[in-house]
Amino acid sequence: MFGFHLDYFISCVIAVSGVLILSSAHRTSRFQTRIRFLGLLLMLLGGVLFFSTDDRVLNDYEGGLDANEQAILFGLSALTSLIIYKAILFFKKLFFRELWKRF
Amino acid sequence: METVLEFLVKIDQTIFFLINGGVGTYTLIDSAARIIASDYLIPVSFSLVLIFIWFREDTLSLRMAGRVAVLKSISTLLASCFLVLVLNGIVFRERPFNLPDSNLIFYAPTDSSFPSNSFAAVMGMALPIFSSYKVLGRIMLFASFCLGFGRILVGIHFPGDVVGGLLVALVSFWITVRLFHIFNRQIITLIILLEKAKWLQVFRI
Repeated sequence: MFGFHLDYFISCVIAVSGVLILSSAHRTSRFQTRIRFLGLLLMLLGGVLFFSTDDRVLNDYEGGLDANEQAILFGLSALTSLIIYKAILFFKKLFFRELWKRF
Repeated sequence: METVLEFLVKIDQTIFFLINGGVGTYTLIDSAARIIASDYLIPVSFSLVLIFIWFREDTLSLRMAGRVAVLKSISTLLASCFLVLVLNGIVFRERPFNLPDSNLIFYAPTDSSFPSNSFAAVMGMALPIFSSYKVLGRIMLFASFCLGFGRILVGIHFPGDVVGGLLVALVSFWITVRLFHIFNRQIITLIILLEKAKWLQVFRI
């Protein structure tokens, strides 16, 4: 993919997005099951994408991540997911409120 | 005293060779062990669990209890890492892959083998969750033991290192519980602030 650090970041963003969707699934009572499924799918996708694209068993001086880098990148990815989630909610509220009701 | 220590080390090595000797028999098990023992799968999965508990929408009291559990989990993780750092400064133990006849199917770490840092960290995350959420906690404890076993299987830890990691996590959890008991009021205030403050609205879903 795009190098170890970016791969980790992207995979975490996808997985955290799944968790955020999962934790707020009950808000939409009509599509609760589908949204939960989507959340789980994204969580799994993040993991599968990360481990299936390259060899991830690397020491930190061979291109892997040390504990600090891992913690910082995970925090950043969680923040990015939260921003994306909020942006989608805002976008949905602003433009698709009526359209969403029809579904 | 030295003979007792030597006896324990000998038992530790025997158990290690019993587990690590199986490497190479089944490629699928070896590949799974490499992923389970990696620095990413279980620690990141546990972090996802913490995010889920933090953001899960429930009644106010349950949400507060969940957030206290998450903060305890993070604190125990930090305390475990600190204790391991201190212990690494006092004790240095060679990694088991340096022994003849051992099998290494992982990268070769250079730091001290005792205590297992990653096992102490994941156990430190799992114990506070187990004290609040039994089912989720059991799954996390099981995953932690899988990581510990995986790290012995791939050849980077002795069983004694994993036991050491468990003890470190238990001590860290005890310290965290004591600290949370002492600073209970301040922690509840902090959580209420995170819940109610308008300027922190961006961190709520």
